[in-house]
Amino acid sequence: MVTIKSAREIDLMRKSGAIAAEALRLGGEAVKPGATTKEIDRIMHDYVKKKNAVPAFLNYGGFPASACISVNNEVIHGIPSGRRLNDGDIVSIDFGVLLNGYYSDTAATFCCGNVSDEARKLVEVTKQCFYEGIAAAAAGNRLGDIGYAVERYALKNGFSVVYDFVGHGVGTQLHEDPSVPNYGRKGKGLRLSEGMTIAVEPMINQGVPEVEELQDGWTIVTSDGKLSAHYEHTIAITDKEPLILTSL
Amino acid sequence: MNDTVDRGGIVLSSAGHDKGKFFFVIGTDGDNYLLLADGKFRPIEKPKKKKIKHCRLCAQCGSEKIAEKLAGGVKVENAELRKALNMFLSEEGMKLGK
Repeated sequence: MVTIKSAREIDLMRKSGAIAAEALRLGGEAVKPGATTKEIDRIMHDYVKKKNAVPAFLNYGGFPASACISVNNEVIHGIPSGRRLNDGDIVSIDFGVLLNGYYSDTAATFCCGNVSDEARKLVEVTKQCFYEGIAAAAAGNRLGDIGYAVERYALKNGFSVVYDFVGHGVGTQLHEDPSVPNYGRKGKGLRLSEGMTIAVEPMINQGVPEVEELQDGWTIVTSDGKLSAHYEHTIAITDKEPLILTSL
Repeated sequence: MNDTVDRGGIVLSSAGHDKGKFFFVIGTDGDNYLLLADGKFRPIEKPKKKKIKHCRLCAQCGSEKIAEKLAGGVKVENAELRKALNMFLSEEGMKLGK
């Protein structure tokens, strides 16, 4: 069932979101050639613990780390490891925080050193896809309006959206109703109402939209081996512009 | 995903002539319907049967006292519903009729 958050609850989610945003900033800062994804995970984990919050992904469904770190052709749910980052990699970090009973969820793709023009364009278009999506996220509009805007911008730039994974509601649970796809038809789907809190998360592929799961049971990769980028914020729907709850 | 809502929860109607009004959940009817009352437009004796997809959950438990009474089969007065609903809305900063 779709939930509506009160002003008090949105305030609590904003506090949770501020910690997630700062952790993501620190994680992004640590993206450098030679760094391991495990080191980045540790930095983010330690920051959240210092703030007396809980890394939401740790042990969620059995996930073994605090951050999902996905490199190059990995789309989402990459498990931090001893893998060293190389100059030219693109690194997607997805991170969630639980504070005072409320979750927040955010993600971004960072460039490691000097990346190719095509990779940089993918990262920038993915970020812009998010902003195109939330421009349509006002009370009274529909979920399809968000997905339509995201997909249209991605396709316009020669990329594709991942159909198999979608955004979601966020609140007292990490994944709540409704699902928020990165595709849709204008004017179709659930009507957005004031107080809804959702994670809009475009996952944009350089090549085909199809993805596969690796044998580790978590990591999702592009089926053609091309690059993928991810950008996400938890937002609250208002009658005007949505509030971004995972901002610094 | 959270598909269930307990008796004593508070929902906002998102469709129909009562759109924008808040109600207590006083029961369910099958998997797809909730029985709603607010003690004013819908008294507890004549609850509104409403599709779950036309409701938005605002609180799993709007009032412990009312939830306990409903669970225990004790009669809840309409005045109690009105009072608890108003208290919830003012405490949570929710705007009636939005």
